[in-house]
Amino acid sequence: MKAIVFSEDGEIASQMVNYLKGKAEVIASTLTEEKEKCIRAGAEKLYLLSGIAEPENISEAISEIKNATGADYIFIGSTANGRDIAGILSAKEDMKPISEITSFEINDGKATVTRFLYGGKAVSTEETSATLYVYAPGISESARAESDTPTETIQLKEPSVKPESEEPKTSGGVDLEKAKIIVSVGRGLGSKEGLGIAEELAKKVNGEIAGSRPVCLDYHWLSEDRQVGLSGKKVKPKVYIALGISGQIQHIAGIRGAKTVIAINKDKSAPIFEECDYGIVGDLFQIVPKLISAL
Amino acid sequence: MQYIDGGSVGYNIAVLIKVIPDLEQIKAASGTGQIQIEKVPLRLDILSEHAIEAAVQLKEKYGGKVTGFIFGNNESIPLMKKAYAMGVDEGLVITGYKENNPTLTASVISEKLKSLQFDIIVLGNQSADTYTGLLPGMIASKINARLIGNVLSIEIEGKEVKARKSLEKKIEVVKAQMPVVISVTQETNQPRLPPVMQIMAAGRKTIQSEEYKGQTPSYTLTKSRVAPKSERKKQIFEKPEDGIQAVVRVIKEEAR
Amino acid sequence: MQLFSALLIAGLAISAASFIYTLYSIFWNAVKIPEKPYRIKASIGRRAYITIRNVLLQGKLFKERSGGIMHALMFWGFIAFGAYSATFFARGIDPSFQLIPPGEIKNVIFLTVDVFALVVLIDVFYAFLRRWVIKIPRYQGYNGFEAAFILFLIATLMITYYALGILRIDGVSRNIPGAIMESIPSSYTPVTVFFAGLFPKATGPLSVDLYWTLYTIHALDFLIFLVYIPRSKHLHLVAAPLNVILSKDRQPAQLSTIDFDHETRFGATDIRDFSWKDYLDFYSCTECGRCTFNCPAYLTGKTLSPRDIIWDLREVVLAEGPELRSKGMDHKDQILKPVIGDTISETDLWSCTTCMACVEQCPVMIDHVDKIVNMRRSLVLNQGKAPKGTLETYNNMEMYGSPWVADPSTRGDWAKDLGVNILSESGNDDFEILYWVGCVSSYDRRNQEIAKSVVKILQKAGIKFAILGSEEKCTGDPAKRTGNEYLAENLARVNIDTLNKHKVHRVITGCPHCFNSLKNDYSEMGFKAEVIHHTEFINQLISSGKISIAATQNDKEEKFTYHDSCYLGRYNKIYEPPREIIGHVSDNYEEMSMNKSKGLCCGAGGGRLWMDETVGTKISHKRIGMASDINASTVVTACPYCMIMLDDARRVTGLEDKMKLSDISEFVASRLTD
Ligand SMILES: Cc1cc2nc3c(=O)[nH]c(=O)nc-3n(C[C@H](O)[C@H](O)[C@H](O)COP(=O)(O)OP(=O)(O)OC[C@H]3O[C@@H](n4cnc5c(N)ncnc54)[C@H](O)[C@@H]3O)c2cc1C
Ligand code: SF4
Ligand code: SF4
Repeated sequence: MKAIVFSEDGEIASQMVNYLKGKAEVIASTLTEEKEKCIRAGAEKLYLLSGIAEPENISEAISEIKNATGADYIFIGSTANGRDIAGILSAKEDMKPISEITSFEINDGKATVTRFLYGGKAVSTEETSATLYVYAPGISESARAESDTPTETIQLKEPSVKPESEEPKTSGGVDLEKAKIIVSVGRGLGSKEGLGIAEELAKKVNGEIAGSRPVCLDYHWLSEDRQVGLSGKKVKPKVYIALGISGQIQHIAGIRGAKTVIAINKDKSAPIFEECDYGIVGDLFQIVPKLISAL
Repeated sequence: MQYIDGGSVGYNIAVLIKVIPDLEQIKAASGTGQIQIEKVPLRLDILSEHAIEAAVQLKEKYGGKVTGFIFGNNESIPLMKKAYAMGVDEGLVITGYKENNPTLTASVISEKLKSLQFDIIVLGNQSADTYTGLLPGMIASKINARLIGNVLSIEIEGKEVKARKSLEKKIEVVKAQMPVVISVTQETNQPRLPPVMQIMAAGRKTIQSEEYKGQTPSYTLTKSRVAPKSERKKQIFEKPEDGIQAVVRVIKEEAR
Repeated sequence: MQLFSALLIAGLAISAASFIYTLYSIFWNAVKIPEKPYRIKASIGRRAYITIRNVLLQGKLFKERSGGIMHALMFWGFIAFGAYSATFFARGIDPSFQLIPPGEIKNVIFLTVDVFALVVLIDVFYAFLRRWVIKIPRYQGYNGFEAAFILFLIATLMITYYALGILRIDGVSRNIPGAIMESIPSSYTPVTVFFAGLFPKATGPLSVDLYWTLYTIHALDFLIFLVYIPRSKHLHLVAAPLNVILSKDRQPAQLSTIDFDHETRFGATDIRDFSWKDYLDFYSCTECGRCTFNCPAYLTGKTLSPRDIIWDLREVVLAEGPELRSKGMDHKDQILKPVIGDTISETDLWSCTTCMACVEQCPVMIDHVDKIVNMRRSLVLNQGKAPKGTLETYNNMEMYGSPWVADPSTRGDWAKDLGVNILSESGNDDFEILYWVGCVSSYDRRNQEIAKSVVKILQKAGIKFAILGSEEKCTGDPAKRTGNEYLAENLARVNIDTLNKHKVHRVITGCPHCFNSLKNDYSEMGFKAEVIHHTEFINQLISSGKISIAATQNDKEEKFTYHDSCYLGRYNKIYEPPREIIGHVSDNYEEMSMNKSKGLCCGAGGGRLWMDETVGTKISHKRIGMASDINASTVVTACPYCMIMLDDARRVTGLEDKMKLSDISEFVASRLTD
């Protein structure tokens, strides 16, 4: 099998290359600006698309690559534009698509994929004859090959959707809803000084810091936009670490979407222990430092 | 810009609406962990509600008419009422939906759209149940319209649409000529609570429906659908040392 | 003298005309503008009772003692003084006229006048002190000029009465035609006699001039008063008695109904969307501020002031009414402006906890809450506007039958291991009483303890009961009180069907909000069953000996207090049962500073439990502060909403080690004896 991977994010493109290597002959493509991130991903060849890029003309370019290489599979990284590109390609090339795959195996031309359904409530394992796959970023790491991949540049056509200007994504506020790991603190911290240890943990695990309502709204240890719960943010990180949070219903309402909830609380009967995956009973000031060093 | 309903000038807007099972009420069978959706009540996909809101806002601002399309089943028909209540003028439910077949959905809807000459087609960028996110591109391509995906805001001038697209790292302002397919995100707007007069008017309005009878070649076979985890594991460690070990493992696994 | 009578007649005619015309125009507004109906039943007995109690005996005024006594004395004084004024004008017009035939009765009447005139005078002085010297907060900033002017008129009326009386004692007016009270023996006018003793005897022609001068001042004063009344807050002299007589059958709980099949304008957007009774409410307001100064929102620094709501609506009516009258009803749509926005802010409407403290306090029985909810309805039902948290609750109530996102199939899970008949699973309709759990106690872990305690008590008492489990849905209270009558009605209908399906005749519930809905709102929709709140039920179980409780060892060190839930107390007048229950166990009990009918809300009612409270202090913090002020070690409540709010306040204000919080059911369940 021969597969083209594309993502306008070079890092995602190289993840896909690494993931598919060994399963297929991989031809990579990304935007020219992202060349550096992809050049040593280990693909057979790297196509660089240059010019004003919109889903419409990118998909045309990928069609060109397909024709040129005779690839039979296409993998597109799941980004806002990536999904649009996949949609257009699927219609244009009449390829059967499947979206947001979290794993891909192929045997005798029959592919087996897994993907999440129903807001993460189900893992679906599917056998498919699809040839166009949208890849969920993060299921694999990227590798670094010894040498540069040979490249070829494709000039993108003028798109009919015309970009006018760009704005930076306002990053002023915290984006708790998008955080992968959240370290959340409650009144168990005792005082604002206690925050230090939580922040240290957050830094260690590369997470965002958040808090219960009293901590954010009543005591202002944290800014209000970091409040998690019914009247705060509804978050869906992979890991939610609750330090000194008792777990009242108003708080829990904000963490239903969390994949794994870890709680540290000194009160064995705290309701948070009914709402967590892993709970440690004990003083957070003793446990968290140990946790940090164990990490 | 077209003449709509014998006189008033405005845009002919379509909104594509998905009916899905309520995700909160989906459960795994105890024991097997197989996901059960049979008895789960249906609702409009939240992203479809955002799409309806966007379409109705365009109508309110620039004039025109909004037609809603649901590709679903017989059970989906009554849910068009909510769309009516939110301001959709006319609705068609096509029955015969098959799960896991975006190609079919795209072609059934595109056929309809082609015959009706829309200026603007609005839909959600991804659906909450299956996350496909492919329909905007597929439909735009099939009906030969411009695609502006993941928009935050929309403005219209004559035949030109200007919109702010939300990408991962930036916001891009783009312009395109109608017809356009626009996909919206959760950040685009806040779907309205329909006023009661409209809820009641919606109740009296007829909903057209027709059955899709074509062949539906399926290319995907679902082998299993299980809950990734039934509910919270509730593993409580009273000896911190054990707990730390377990937690470190989990964090390392997840933080990859 | 002829001339004088003529002038008097003319003056009287002019002020009476002005009085009547102003009243006419004001009541024209009330008859012609409003389009909403007002439900009223005859209930003659009740009306007679409240009229005697709240008009004649000034009953509601005594909720604030000093102000109440002041006003009541003024009121009674005025009634008494009416005899003097009537005689004064009657004889001024026809000097030979005898309004009351001379005799003992007349003497006693005028003795009353003589005494009450002094009382009124002292009252005026006291009123002056309250407003400008003691500076009672609730008067500050409100129509000081008007108050001063009125007090001046009243004082002048009384002073000239005594001055004329002194001249009478001195014999100056004996031969003047039309002079009054000449036949009253001086022993019946002791106050006048006393005053006369303070002045040298008046004689000579100058004293006659003085008589006429005083006479003129007295007459003019009265006429000005007559003209002024309907144009000022003293319109309440006319409107308030009517308002009391025509008040709702069931004062607090009732909200006006909506006829969804026929109405097209929901709730109150502009002044046409009220009822004539609402107009009477506006006209009755005396701006006394009792409502506002008992309002939990106002007391914690929010801008909501129920007095301003009423008064601002009145101003709009008085401004737009005349315009409508001159231009004609066809111009309604141009003239009437929405009252929400410029006049009454949306923020203020959403700040209300529907606690009824304002309604409870208002001496003239104005219903603020119905108006506030009606304006909320306008926002919610016509425009789909509500705070974000509230919109979410609507969604949840519709999808999950609970204001929270909660899987309805797990509603009865808390009772799974308790041997409870869960109807959604057992289908076994063999029970005497249905325990209606409510959303909070079904899903909130802290409040599940309440449900478990109720179960324990019912089982101990050997009562055959059942719960609905997943068939129970939110009663709709959070929707109803935030103005989403449509959703509330739908939920009510589903619940009533369920209750009827299981042939429920008796319901006990632990949630005052559910209690009020089931008992008062559902009964209006045709649900007929006896609905009992667990406080009353448990109290009955104790007094009938079905269960008994005893103090625990720790109780000796405890100091108890009880926090009144608005929906139990003011809405349903249940104040004593919980206090009696606590009394079985401990004498160390003290009331917080605002209690019973004056109890301060916890801040959760009216849908506020699901909204942010960011302005001023939190109501719950103020309330818990009151418990802390009396050093209570256990605060007993009887409402899951209060439990959530006060528990949060208790933690956040750092009282969790010093103060416990217990629902009355938990209080009892943990003290049951065999
Ligand atoms: C209308 C309303 C809306 C609300 N909305 C929200 C909301 O959006 N988000 C929210 O979070 N809350 C909300 N709340 C507040 C909620 O009810 C709780 O009060 C709050 O979540 C409790 O915060 P907490 O867990 O930090 O504090 P607490 O409940 O006081 O818990 C502190 C915990 O820390 C533990 N602890 C103490 N010291 C230590 C230590 N050294 N080591 C380990 N553990 C320790 C204690 O055992 C305790 O369990 C709302 C409340 C209301 C009434
Ligand atoms: S009901 Fe309570 S909160 Fe609302 S205005 Fe009256 S006193 Fe204030
Ligand atoms: S509404 Fe009632 S309590 Fe409030 S100011 Fe007016 S008269 Fe006084």
